[in-house]
Amino acid sequence: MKKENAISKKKLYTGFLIFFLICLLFQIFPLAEIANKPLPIVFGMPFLMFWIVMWIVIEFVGLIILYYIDVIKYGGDMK
Amino acid sequence: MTGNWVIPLIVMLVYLGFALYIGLLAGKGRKASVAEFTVAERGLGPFIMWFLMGGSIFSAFAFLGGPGWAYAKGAPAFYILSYGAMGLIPWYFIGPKIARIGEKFNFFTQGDLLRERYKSRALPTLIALVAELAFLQYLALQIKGTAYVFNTLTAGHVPIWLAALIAYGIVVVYVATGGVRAAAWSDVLQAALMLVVAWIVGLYLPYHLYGGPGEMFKQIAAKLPGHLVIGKTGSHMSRMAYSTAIILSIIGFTMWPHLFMKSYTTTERTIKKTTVLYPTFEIIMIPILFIGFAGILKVPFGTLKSPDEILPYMIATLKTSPWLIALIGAGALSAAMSTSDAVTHGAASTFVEDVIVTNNPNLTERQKIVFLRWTVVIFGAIAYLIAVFGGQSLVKLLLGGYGYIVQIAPSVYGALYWKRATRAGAIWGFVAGATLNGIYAFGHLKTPFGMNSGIVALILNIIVFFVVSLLTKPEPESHTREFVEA
Repeated sequence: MKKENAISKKKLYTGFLIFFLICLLFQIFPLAEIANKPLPIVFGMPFLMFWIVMWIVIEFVGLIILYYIDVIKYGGDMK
Repeated sequence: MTGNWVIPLIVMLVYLGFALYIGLLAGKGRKASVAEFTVAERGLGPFIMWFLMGGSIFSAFAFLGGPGWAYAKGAPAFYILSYGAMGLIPWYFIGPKIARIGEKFNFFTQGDLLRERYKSRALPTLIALVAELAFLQYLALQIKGTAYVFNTLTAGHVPIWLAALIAYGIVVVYVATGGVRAAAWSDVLQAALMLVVAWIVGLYLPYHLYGGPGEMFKQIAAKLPGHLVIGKTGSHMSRMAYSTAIILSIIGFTMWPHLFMKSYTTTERTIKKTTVLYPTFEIIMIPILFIGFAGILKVPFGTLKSPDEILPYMIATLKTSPWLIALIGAGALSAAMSTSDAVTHGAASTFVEDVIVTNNPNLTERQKIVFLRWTVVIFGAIAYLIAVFGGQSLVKLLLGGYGYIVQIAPSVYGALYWKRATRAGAIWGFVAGATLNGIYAFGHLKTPFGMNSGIVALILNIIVFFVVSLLTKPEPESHTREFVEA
């Protein structure tokens, strides 16, 4: 059982590392070019700033899901 | 006009007294041991960790430099948002592992881990010495920032040397007596205050001057559109420089020795919880950047000696309520002090553990504690002198901070994930990376494709680390397994 858990944990971590990497790639160039403009203003922020804040929110949601699966569901705390 | 500086002065002094009180109280009644001083016996909870990490990271740089960048450069300041929110994510994966290994071997610092894994005294000593220089510069910046805010908001009535002495003296006293626990508890007060002030000022200025952030950005977009984009006409940073600066800072973030050693202060679960909740802290950079953008159309470029003065300048010229000035003063002080305490503590712990104890393993517990306390005081005094009497531009030239710190990353990740990593690989990789970064910083040379110089140096570091590791004799599997499979 312990071994099975270890494999799934490795997969979980790899999956989320890829997810966070994608979040990063959208915030740097060349992909950030999509949002590299001042207008429209969204939530009081210029578009590029809004774009970055949006990815921060997506990262945050990702972290919560990771924590939920890792710690709450599988009890990732070894202690 | 008199009331305009008396009230801020009183409020800031009350705040400082309170910070000292909390710091001293936190350390009271705890036993004097290295484990308590450096890592609070590995027992800090998630509530305190959130404030400790947030407070340590959000510094005078964020509070003064962040608006300064937004004012002078515009959109490139967004890199602070990107890297800040992501910087702690690697900690989710490596932090628990470091904590497990640390508990098993009784580690306190970053150098402890490297020394044990690579069986080398030279590597931790070398890294610690380079890190000390980075710390000194970082700290001198905080002290300068504190003193500057104190001085401006009391209309020059408190001279720079005295302001720096009071604010930083308090930090040294509570860190020397209470160690990391004192830093953590005073950060709860300081970080909370910083959060409140950032939102109040960050929203007040755009509303007061423009009728709201949306309207403010519309006007900037109409007059200076290049200020709100990266790499186009009128922009202040190339796409490559912007992107590589973000990557550099994300990799370097968790490598700062004072943040790294926080892995030993708590449990796995708390490390994960802190990382998950950390982006909620980062959100305060949004109003902080608003402050700088608010200055673009109101303060003509060239008015200020340094763009970092934009926040205190705008507050001082707006003739607002002295209570608002007082609040901002206390907020800026807390941003600088909550970083100074962690950096001072980290610098002392790193120096004593990684340089003194590593090379004199027979010291008694009592001697180590004495060394730790005195190092806090001596290091504090050096940083104070650099901040007040200048010379810090020289240190700055020597050390671009992150560019050096990021060079620690290959040896740390190698220690944790790569059994084939060897001592020679780690040492030569670090030496190659740090040297190349120094050459770029000193010689003002152009990098390939306009990349960040720290990243170019890191690439060389990784190549040397891999090649030399593969060419040298592997370390015994039974030894490396204790780290890689922890």
